[in-house]
Amino acid sequence: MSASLATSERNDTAAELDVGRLVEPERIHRRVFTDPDVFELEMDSIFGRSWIYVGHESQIPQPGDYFTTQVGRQPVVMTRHTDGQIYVLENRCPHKGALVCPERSGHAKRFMCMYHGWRFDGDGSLVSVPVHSGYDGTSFDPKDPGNGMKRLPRVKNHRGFVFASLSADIPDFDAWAGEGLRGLDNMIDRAPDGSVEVVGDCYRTVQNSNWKIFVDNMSDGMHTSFVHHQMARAAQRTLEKFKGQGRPGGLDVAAMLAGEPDQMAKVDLVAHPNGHFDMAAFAPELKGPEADQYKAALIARHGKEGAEVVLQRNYHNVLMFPTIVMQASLQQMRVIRPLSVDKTLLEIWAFRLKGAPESFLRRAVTGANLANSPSNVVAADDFEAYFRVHAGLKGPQSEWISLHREANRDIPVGTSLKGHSGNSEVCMRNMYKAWHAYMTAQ
Amino acid sequence: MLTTSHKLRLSRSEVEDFLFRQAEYIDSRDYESWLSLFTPDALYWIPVRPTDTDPETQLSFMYDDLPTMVARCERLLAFGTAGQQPITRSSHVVSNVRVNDATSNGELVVHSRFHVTQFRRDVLKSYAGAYTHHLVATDEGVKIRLQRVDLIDCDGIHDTILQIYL
Repeated sequence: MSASLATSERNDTAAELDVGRLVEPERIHRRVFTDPDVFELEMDSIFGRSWIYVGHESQIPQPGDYFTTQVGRQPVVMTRHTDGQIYVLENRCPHKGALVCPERSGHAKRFMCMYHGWRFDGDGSLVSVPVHSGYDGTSFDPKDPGNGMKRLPRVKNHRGFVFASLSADIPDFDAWAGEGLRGLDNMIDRAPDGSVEVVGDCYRTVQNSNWKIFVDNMSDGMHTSFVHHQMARAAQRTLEKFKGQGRPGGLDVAAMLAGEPDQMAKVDLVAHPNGHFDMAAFAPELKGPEADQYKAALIARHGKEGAEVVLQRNYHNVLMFPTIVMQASLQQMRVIRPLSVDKTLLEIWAFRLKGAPESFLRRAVTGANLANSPSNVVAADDFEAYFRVHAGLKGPQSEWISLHREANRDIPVGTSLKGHSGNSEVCMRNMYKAWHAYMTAQ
Repeated sequence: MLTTSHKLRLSRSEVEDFLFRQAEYIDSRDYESWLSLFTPDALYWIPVRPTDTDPETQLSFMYDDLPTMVARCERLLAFGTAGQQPITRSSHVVSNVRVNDATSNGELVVHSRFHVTQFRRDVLKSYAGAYTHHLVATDEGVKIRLQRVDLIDCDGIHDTILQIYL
């Protein structure tokens, strides 16, 4: 296995890399997925130059709370400082570069680097350097608060969702997000109190495949009838056997994928500028007295017409390229943290819609356990597809993959493109157009 | 299946026989027999953090009721399940068995440790942790009402999807 990987890497790097030629309107070169040099360039040109999701403000409710993750290859820490503001800092001591916060999350009055005891405030300011007289007469000023942990140059808190950029020189958040924001906003609008919060910690799973193979699958209606057929049938048979008994959001959702090869054809797929997309929801809405109560609460907030718009708009998968894949109607979000060309870490979060009935949260938790956990029964079969795609693409002999499906039938809607059907590969084509623009930008 | 009202009492070796049998069913892919060890209202829970207390509102690895357990086993045995081409093999070692007194509702709580090795497509994977079994007496023999599985790496990063029961 490692021998074949090494061979394929050599073949990739042997040929001169002309990244602009790896993407065509309807086909993609295999090196987009397998070439370590392409991955390095992605980290600079895409993950270093766009709005990367960091975390949700509900993860750090109190001053002193922090959460660590990565923006591209950069370890970062999201903090809530004593001024109540959220900061996103490089998780790196300015002295020798050690990680200042080693835990995934926690609470600290101040940060202290374990190596030489340098101390920092929650906004990154340098507080003190032990035996600072050692810097007398040098070009380093240990008393300058600005010599602390560096802040990322751009941070945006969009309704509790915190994004940051490693580069100052990128478009504003709203221009970058555009129509791609409507999926995220819809999930938040569905909360009667107008905001959401995370449910505990996230799952962390690693796919042994390139990150874009996963993203492609998020708008791939056609795979559902093949990859998920066995689980969908198992869910269907089990529900019959137990006469529908079972928790909402679990087997009932899995069983929906037991149809014909074109079962997703009627699902709306819309691709937006900058690579984003959304896919309409197909899971059943909750019914019963709680649901009626919930609708009344939404009407109280948005008005009758407003509530109808919020409820009509309902999304299954939402991509905010390159880091967020939400399952908005299922109150879940998968955050893409690429580790290497063939390893992709996902943080998978579930959300509580504030003001919504507890049954909504229970459904989200049931769905997450079954479809997204490290022992799930839905993505378990997707992972097999991702692994096989990546393994197949290591072979250098054939160079291209096909994104031709329904390519000549896209329907323009404003600045967006709607797929001819839910089987269209429009969102993949749209994403690689954005990918190409990022990768070739000067 | 009726749960009997009397308090369940089992010796450690009787409990060990039961746990070893359950492990053997998984390792031999005899899921029908494995499922028959659970009560209709049984729950199988693998928390995602050592401190988790409420699987209804917190994420878990697994928080399966009996229908979910049946569907999961059906997926494993179905012809063509993508994630089971090739299948996963497993080998259980169950040890350090301690039997608590029966609780007020007649359940016998049993603690043990496990080491499970799984093999799928050239990758050997190891799972270790603690089982907590809540056993009850029924008219069809001893059954599991709750099995909690605490993995030592439950809150870690996982590069393999756990497909078969531990």
